[in-house]
Amino acid sequence: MQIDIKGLKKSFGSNLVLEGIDLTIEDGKTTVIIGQTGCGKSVLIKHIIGLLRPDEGEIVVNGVDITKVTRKEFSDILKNFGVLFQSAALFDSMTTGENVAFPLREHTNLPESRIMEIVKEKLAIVGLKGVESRYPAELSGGMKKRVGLARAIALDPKVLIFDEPTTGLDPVMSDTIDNLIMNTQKRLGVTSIVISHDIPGTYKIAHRIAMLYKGTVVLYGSPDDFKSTKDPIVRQFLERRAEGPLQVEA
Amino acid sequence: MTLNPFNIFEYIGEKFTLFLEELGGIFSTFLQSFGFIVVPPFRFRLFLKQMEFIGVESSFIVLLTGAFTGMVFALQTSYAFKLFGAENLIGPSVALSLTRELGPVLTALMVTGRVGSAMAAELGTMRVTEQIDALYTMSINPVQYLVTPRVSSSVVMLPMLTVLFDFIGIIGSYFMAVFLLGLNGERFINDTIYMVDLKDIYIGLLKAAVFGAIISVVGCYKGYFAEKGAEGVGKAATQAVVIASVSILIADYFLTALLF
Ligand SMILES: Nc1ncnc2c1ncn2[C@@H]1O[C@H](COP(=O)(O)OP(=O)(O)O)[C@@H](O)[C@H]1O
Ligand SMILES: [Mg+2]
Repeated sequence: MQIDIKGLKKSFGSNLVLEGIDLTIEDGKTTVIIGQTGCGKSVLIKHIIGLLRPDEGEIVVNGVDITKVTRKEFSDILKNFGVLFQSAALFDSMTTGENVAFPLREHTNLPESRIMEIVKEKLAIVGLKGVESRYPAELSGGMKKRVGLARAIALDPKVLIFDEPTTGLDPVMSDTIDNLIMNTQKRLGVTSIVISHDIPGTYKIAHRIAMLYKGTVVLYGSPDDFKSTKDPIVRQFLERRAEGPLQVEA
Repeated sequence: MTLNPFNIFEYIGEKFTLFLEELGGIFSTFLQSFGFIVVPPFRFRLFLKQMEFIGVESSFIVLLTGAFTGMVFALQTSYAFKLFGAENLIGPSVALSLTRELGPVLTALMVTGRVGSAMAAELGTMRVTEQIDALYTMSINPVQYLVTPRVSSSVVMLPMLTVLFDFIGIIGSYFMAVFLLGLNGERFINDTIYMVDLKDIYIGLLKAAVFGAIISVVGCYKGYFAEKGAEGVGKAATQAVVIASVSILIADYFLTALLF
């Protein structure tokens, strides 16, 4: 599924967050969105999944402008999406296993035994075993993220949206998740949108990278474009330097 | 802020607009949650779970408050009726007050403290931790999933709890009257049955159902639209209790005026 974002603008009160985003998420590729904390990365993907309405602009998914469809139509589009929230957003009244099983129970008619198998399988993919009966409150932050990931891929969606999937994970676990994203993409040809602060990981998984700065896309291109860019803002961010044109907002 | 006395109009105007907005939001939550009762998928398991939480788990406090309300009412009325030598009216007057008024209202207020605040806190936490957003992105309507079971079970359970309250309250007053004040037990029961109409009980239960809707819709509405972290959740819970309690008393007046 190709996603075209055109002239997307959004402000919260006087806080102008997105000042005109133009970005194409190519079908079957992994696009990584980078940028400073608070620059609007999460806000951007919340527009793609319809949780926020733009002030201006359009978002076209498979030829349909999702800012104009009815709730029912959008609900059907959403069935193709798997989303991992930055906070994991696990249902805390359900166990880990029930969380991962939830989309399966809601949207398929699979027998319970098959659902349990899929739950085990998806949890194993994210490196978790024997945690099915634990509640989210009993898991570490990194484990919650991975359960959220398992839940996002439970229905084998066509579009995967991951908000900082590796933040808070150790380097080895991060690489495992990166491999998972790459493998799912290769195996199922899914379109992935990943928000990340992990530059080496980004180079590894991305087909395309978009960097947000001051409400717009400052650079969009392949990892090689990013490695060779002379843009001082992008360079400073990639080289993780405090000095330069990029400022930390107070 | 300037000290212009005319600002008070602005202030009241602003509050009034907010109030109307709030009322609109609560009403639309009510309509939506009710509409979804007839739209599949039916979430019977969630409905049962809420019935247990709202009904079964409230039964103890309702028993306790019901018994003591009946007992204190018998004491108080006996004081007044003794002046006229009309002690035989203790039973009927307690029973009438309980079924028509105190049963539904006190039950609803007790349940508001327990259930209304819990609903606001639970949904509020789900809101600020993005669990409601997660439901939505899984193509599940959060109102249908979260609000409808709470509202429908609350509407069913409140009348049941009220029956319990009335019953226990009358038993409490019976014990007071017979064992403490030395009245004739059989006469107490006969007078009570004679004076209390079925209509008194029905209308009391109808009130309870309306109060059940108020408690759950307000609690869910406040939680559903909670803002900004733990503080927002706390505020939602407090406001849910205050708004629901006040609304119950206001609604009680109108229902009494209209129905009896
Ligand atoms: N629901 C909201 N209401 C008001 N402001 C918001 C909301 N969501 C995000 N913001 C603001 O938008 C900006 C971008 O936030 P976000 O997209 O979460 O940043 P990040 O790039 O770190 O994911 C921040 O200034 C944040 O305060
Ligand atoms: Mg973010």
